Formats: sequence, structure tokens, C-alpha cells
Amino acid sequence: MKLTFVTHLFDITASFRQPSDISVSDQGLIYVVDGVNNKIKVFNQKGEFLFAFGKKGRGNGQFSFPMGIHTDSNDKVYVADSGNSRIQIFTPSGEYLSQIKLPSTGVMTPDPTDVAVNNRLNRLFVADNDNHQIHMYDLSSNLLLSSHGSPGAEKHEFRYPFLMSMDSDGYLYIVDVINTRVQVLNPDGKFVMIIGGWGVEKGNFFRPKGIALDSGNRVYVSDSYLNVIQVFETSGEFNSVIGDPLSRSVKKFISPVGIFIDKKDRLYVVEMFAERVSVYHIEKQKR
Amino acid sequence: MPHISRIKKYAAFGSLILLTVMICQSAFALDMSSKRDCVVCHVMWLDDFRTDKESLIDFEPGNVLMKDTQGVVSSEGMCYSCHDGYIQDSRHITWNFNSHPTFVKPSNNINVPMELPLSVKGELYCGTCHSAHGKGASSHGDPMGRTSLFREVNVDSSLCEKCHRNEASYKNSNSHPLHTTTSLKFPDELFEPGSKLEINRKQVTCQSCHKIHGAKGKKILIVDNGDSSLCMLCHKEQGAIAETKHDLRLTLPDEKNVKDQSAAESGPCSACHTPHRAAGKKLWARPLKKGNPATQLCLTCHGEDTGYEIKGTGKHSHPINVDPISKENAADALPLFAEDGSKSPKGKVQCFTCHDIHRWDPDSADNRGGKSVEGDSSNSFLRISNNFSSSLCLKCHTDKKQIVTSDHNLEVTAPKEKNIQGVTPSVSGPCGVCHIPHNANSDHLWAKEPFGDKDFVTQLCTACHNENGAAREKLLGINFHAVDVTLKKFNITTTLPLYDSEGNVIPDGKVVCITCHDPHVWDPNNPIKDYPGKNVEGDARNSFLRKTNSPSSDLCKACHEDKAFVDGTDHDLNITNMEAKNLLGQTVKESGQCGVCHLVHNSPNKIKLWAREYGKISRHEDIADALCNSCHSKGNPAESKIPLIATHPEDKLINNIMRSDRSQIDYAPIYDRKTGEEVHVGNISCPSCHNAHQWSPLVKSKGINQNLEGNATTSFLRNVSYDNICIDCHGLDALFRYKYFHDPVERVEPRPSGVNIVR
Repeated sequence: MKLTFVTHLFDITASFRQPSDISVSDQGLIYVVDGVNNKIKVFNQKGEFLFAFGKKGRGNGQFSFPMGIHTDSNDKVYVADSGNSRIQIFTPSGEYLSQIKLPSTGVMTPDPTDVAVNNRLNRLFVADNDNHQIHMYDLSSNLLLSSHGSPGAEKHEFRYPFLMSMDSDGYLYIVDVINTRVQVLNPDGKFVMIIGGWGVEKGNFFRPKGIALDSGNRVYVSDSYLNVIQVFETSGEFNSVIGDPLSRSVKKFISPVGIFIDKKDRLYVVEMFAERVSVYHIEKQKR
Repeated sequence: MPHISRIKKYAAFGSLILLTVMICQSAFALDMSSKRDCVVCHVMWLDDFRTDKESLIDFEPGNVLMKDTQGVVSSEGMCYSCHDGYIQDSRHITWNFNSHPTFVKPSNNINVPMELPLSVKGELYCGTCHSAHGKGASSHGDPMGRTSLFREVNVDSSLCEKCHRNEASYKNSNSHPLHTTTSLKFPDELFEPGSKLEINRKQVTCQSCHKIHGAKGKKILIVDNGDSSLCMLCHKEQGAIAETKHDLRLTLPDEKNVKDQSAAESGPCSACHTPHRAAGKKLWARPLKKGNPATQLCLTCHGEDTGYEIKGTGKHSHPINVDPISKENAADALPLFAEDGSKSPKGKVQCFTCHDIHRWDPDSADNRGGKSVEGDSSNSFLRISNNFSSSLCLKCHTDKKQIVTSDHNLEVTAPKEKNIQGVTPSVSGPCGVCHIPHNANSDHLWAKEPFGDKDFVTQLCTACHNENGAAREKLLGINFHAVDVTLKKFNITTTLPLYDSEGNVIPDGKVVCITCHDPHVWDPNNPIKDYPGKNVEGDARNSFLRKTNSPSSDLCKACHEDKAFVDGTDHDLNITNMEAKNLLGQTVKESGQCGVCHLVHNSPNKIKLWAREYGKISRHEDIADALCNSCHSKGNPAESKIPLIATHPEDKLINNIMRSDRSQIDYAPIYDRKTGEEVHVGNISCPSCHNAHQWSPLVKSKGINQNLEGNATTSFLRNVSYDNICIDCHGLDALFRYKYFHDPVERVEPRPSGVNIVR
């Protein structure tokens, strides 16, 4: 089985309680969603704690078990405040700016689990997990432009869409958890393709959770049951599994969920059950 | 199926679990196989394991088809893979803080029924309680007990009780009550951390205190109970125990309860109480002896043989397990306890009757006392503060209430006096000056040092009433009423209490101070309503007498019944001279009829404790005559009743040996002329013929409240018959001589020299 090796750099442990997602700003600040603590914790590039913001509640700047996070090219911080059915937007230092309350488009209470932003296209996308939809907003006005998807397993249908990532062209990669796949939509919300499938063999998923794109637009997908991270080509073709350079075997994580790859090709893995963030350097592959 | 229909149907499923179940039961609109939906959890059913291709996880074949046994399908990782928030967010519920133990074998106290399977290792696992094929789910539970896909419904902890049977049968296992309607109001704070109300919102269930997943405390309590904060949410009043001496974290931090927990570990409540399988009633968590729990619980630590260096009750302590003096009063004010330790108006006095062991200061829950503060009657875990007016004692001892407004309230009369504990009346309260409930000096809970050489019962009084005592102004004097004597030899019976030397009332006991005095009651008839707060001078109507002695001689009459016939006669100065005063300056109203002539204490005169100055007598007269002359002489109250002649020839010695029986009509006492003692040979004197206490020898009753002129059948004569002492010498002439004894003309003998005749 082809492996992509990663070198362990350091772990971040900061009294996390089942953290879920991570994002690294262009300035290099590491933002971790410490959801059960209802906080966003911020670290420097060495993994040293800088500050935290948020507490449990419904008010501005307060959270109810947030799940996903995104930092845009302006270093604004977007948090999927799941329990409060909203997206909250903060400055890099954690000061509250605004919020987007999700529409009740389904029977279930809106359940935003992740947010992705493309400043160039002026778009903001939200995954509504329980209603199996992706909402597209105008980033400037925070107005809902359109909702995409419906419950199901066909193209452009979802079963519990969760974490997302967006490439530089505005293509949205959505982890479709129970459909055990990644679904790709274009910037207009149109279906593009599916990555992965159902199973426990390479290239398949059982509980896909997190997704990240590296500088070469390779797609990394974590699976919290298989405890692996797999790498796919932009075309959707399976590339490899993250491996341990010492054992030369598949690297096993502990319930890996949110992942992020920064400009330095550092892979950040939120290991939810282990309540830590492990940070690696991705060894370059030969194309 | 139309698109919108699919939305509605699909959206009705609130979670992956529901989704899974429903998908398995219906044909999903999409091209989803039922197998795939089952494999959402049953991963080992994947065909991938049956190919030659390498898989990302290993195949575990052992339990693929084993029903109701732990396998991959019910592993924690499988559950968490959906309940981590990506389908259903149970992070803060199931995997937060503490959960019910899993992957351990049940303890010997647990009996897991067959319908709740254990793993192949005989261990508890998620599937012991949960199954996707169980009794259905409701995201937040419902009245039918459906929640979290339990194998069985969990109505008011019914699922818990399938295994925890000992706890469920709480009465048999001395555990916290369940399913009983409680008078406690469930506080809102209980539910914030996850307590669940039973359907009717009135009863305690397992989940009132325990949270199966996400419990913040040990033993899956909804909150950390190391400081007993969970207990105190409901038992708010008992929470006042914290930081008191009964908070064993302060006083006995290393002592362990029956669960082998030190006080520091268990918290203040659990040091003495454990909610399950306690040692005895009241969830008692410490070694317990047989007996009424309402007392034995206390003796766990305060008993004589515990070895603890803490307060004991001492040899002399307030009785327990006894009926209250007044059940009616006590039951209203303080709790009584039945044999099983439960409160009962028909119960008995136990430690808990006076003590609320959870609260140091009855007047302030904020005053916790602390470890080293010495208690007093205002705190000490008493139910009612007992310092200023001994309110606690007097709840039962209602007959002692008058002491507060009397001179025996030493806070008024001797505020600096201290009891054996070294505390003053203002600290001890009026009762505590003389009595302390524990560690007393002697019987009767005596709180004073013994004083004097008399027996114990007398020492009770002389502890203060001695020359250096607090009551040094109120001593007995040289001449006082006989005490320490029995009445038998005087052939007297009484309604007043007689005592043995230990202070117990017995029928043939001795006369002691408290025979006549009740030191707790100033006025037996009329409690003082406007006590001036300073020493009050008493008289025959009060002075802690058991009965008043004015306006009638009720007290003296209790022993000296025949002497009380004086009331209403000419010798009752209420009738004949109300203004006359005795040596203490008391009128008859103040002294009572008896007190006109007799002073029980501090009489300057030994003979008959005479209350007046002796009258003058001639050399022919006896000292006994001086008693009569003190009134029947010029310038005195009975100066109008002075006999012209009143002496018998002195050289005629008379023997009354045959007439010395007090009970006979011919009783004619003869007195030693100097000492006044009764003798058998001597001269006759006034009281030889006159009984000053009875107007007529024929009428054994008190007078008719009129000043009467006497005759030969009245006039306080002892005898009106021919058979009197005169006949012994004078034969048939006796009656004549008897009749004209005071008539100097008719008397046959020549007048003796120095005769006592008023000119």
C-alpha cells in the first residue's frame, strides 16, 4: 500500500475536551475548536498557547458545542456554532464581528458543522449537517444565496455532510459522512465529482470526517473509525495513505477528525478522542 | 418517490441511530442496500474482508454473528464514530467526564439479568444496556422511558434497577429512598448538571443523583460530591454542617467510614452517611451499636469507649430513651423518636430531641463554630438557643419556667457566679447555672461543686446558700426548722416530698430544704409578670415555697395539719390584729398565720423558732409562758387578753406521765421551765391547758374568721372534760379549780407572791 510519510513535529494539548476542527491563518496562528469547552484556543507555530475566546452561551461570542472552523485570506475567523445554529465571525484576536443565523430549510433544527470561505469569489458556504444541505451566502452581505443538496445518496445529495475544504479556485470539498465519500461542488454549487467510496480498502471510507488540501491540491481525508488519513489526487484518484516513516507502515491516529495543511506543508490532525492536535511535516512525494 | 416526500420522511429522523433503524426497516428511495445500512455499524459484514485486497483495519471474525455479545459493532469506537458530533453530538453527554464503568466485570453486589448481556469476557460493555435493536429511542427521553436505544425501557431508572437490585430495595439495604414521594422540593440547581426528574416530578430515582454518561462526579454522580455539594442541593438545611465540628474533615479527617473513605475523601455528609448499603438507619456510614438510632448514631463518636478525644457525655448526663416530662408540650416543640429512630409524637427523648447535629448555631446558619471553638448553650448543635432564658430546657420542663423571672436566675442575682464549666449565667442560661446536660458533677446533672458536710440533697442548696456562696445573704441562721429528719418519729405524714440522701423522693425520706422549697418556682400560684430584674424580698406567699403559707397556712399544714386549725381563730392575726408585726417586720399577710409566731429560718429564738420577743415572765412562770406573754402582755397584740392570774403554785410539782399522749383529749404537756422542752415533771404553764392552734377542743377545724369571746369549752383549751390533769391532785374539786384558774377571787389558794397580775 502506497504511503505518504509524515514526520511528527509536536503535539498540542491544552486541556482540550474532544476538540473537533482546526484552521491555521495566513499569519500562522493555529485555531482549534475545543467544542466541549465551548472555546476557540489559539496557538503559535510552535504550538504554544496564546489565548482563547468564547464560553458556553447564546450571546455574541458565546458558543454551544461548536464543531468547525475556517480562517479566510483576511485572517477573519469563522466558527460553526452548531448548537446555536449559526456561524459567528471574529477578528484574528477573537473579537466578535458578526454572525449568520442559518435558515430553517428542513425539518430539523439547523446544525451548522463547518464553514468555508472564498474571499475572491465573495462566497461563504455552510454545511447543515442534520438537514443534509450546503448553504451558499454572499460574504459581504451575509445574505443566503442558495441551498444545495437534499437527503440521499445520489449526486448532489448528502447524508450528514460535515467538514469542508475549498481549493484556490473555489471548488468545495464536502465530507459526506454516511455516504462515505467526499463530494465536490463548483463555486456555483453544482456537482462536480465524488472522491472515495464505501469500504475499508484503500481509497474507501467508513467514517470520513476531516478534509484538507495541500499546496498541490491533493486531497487529504481523515477517517475516525479506520483511524487513517488517505491522500487523493485532485482528480479523485487514490494516492496513498499517511504513513509512519519509522515503522514504514500505515500511521494510525486516534479518532482523527478535523485536519489542516498549511503553506509549509505541515499537517495538523485533530485527534478527538485523544484530545490533542498532532502536527506533522509532510514528506514530499515524487509525482 | 417525489423529492419533497423524501425530505419529509428523511428529516423526521433525528439522528444516525434513528436513521439506521428506519433505513433497515424501509426501502430507502435511493440505491442503498439494506446490507449497507446494517454495515453502518456491523463493519465486519463488509465483503472487503472476504477479498485478497489489503484492508485498512483488521478483520475480527470472532463475533460477527454472535448475538448480544460484545463485538466490533458495539465497541466504543463504533459508537463514538457517529456520536462524536458528526452525526449525533453526544460528546458532552457520553464521553464527557465520568461514565458508568464498562469493560469491567460486575461486582459481587450486582446481579445482571440475562436480558442484559455481558461481553464474551463477562464484562459490562456498551451493548449491555444499548442496542440499535432495542426498545426505541427518543432524543431526550420520553415518558415511556425510551432514550438512547436501551435494550429495555428506562422508566424512572427501571433499567438501572435490573442490575442494582440492592439499591432498589433500599429498605432492606439501608440505602437512599427511591420512588417515595418526598417533601423536599427538587431545586433547579439539581437539573442543570443533568439530574433527571421522574415522571411525576416528585420522587427520587437513580438519575436524580447519577448520570450514566457525562457525570462530573465520582461514582457517576452528576456533580463532584467531594464536598457533599450534591447532597446539599436537596438537603439544604443539613448543609450547615460544613465547617462545624461535625464536619469530620476538620475534626477527624483521617477517620474512615464503612466504605473505607476518610472524611477528607468522602466530604462532610458521607463521613457519616452513605447512600447505599449503609451500616444502619439514617444511611449511617459508621460502626453502629444496637439501640435507638436517634441516640446510637451520636454515640458512634461520643460514646465512652470510642477512643476519640472528643466530647463525651460523661457519667452524669441527661437521660435518654425516656418519656418526656410532658409529651404534649415536648412533641410540639422538639422531636421525639420511636424505636426505629423515626420521629414520632409518641416517641421518647433521644439525643436528637435536643440536638440538630447538622447545625452548630440554631440562630445562624452562617455561624459554623469551627474546629477549636468551645461551644456553649447558644450553639453546640442545640435545636434552640438555651442561653438567655434556657428556652430549650423549658420546652419540656415547663414547670421550671418561673426560674427565669426569679432570684434563682443567677444572671440577675449573681451574674459572676460560674458553674463547673467555668461559665457565667449569661453564657450558661438560667438552667445551666445549676444543671448541665452532659458531664455533670453528679446526679440531677449538678453543675456546682459540692459544699458543706451535709448529704448530697442538702448540698444542692448549700452550694450557693453558704457564707461565701452566691446566696450568702440568704442563710438559715442559728435557729431553723428541722431538716435531715424523718417524720416517722413525730408520727407525721405529709403531702410534701421527702428525700433520701441522693435526692430521690421516697415515702419515708427526710425533710430537706426542697421538701418545702421548689427552687424553680418563686410563687406556686402566681408567676411573676413584672419581675423587676433585681433581687426580690420574699414572704410566705412565694420564696420558692411549694405551697403558699398566706393567706392560709397551706404549706405548714402539709405536715402540721392540726396546727393549721389556727386559721380563722383569734390567734389568726388576720382576724384580730392585722397590723401586728413579727421580728422580721412582717405583718400576718406577709408572714402567714404561722409566721406570726414561728420563723422557719433565722429565728433568734430557739424555742419554737419564736418569731416574737419573749414576753416577760415572773419567777414563778416557765419559759413556755414567755411565748404566750409575747402577745398577751401590755403593749402587745393581745393586751386585752391578759389573765388576771395565770400561775400555778410553783412548789407543787406535777407529773403528766399519764397525760402525755398528744393524740388524747387529756393531753397536758409539761415543759422544762428554762428550756421549754417537754418533760413529765414540772409545773403547768399556759400551753399545758391551752392549745394555741385550735379554738375549741371539740371542733378539729379552723376558726370561723371572727373574733370570738371564749368560754370554758373554747378559748383554745385543750380539754373541756372533767378528766383533766387537775383531777390527779385535786380530785373532785378539780373542775371548780380548772374553771376559775384565772380568777383571783374564786381561786381557793391564797395568791402566791409575785403573781403575774396586770394592775
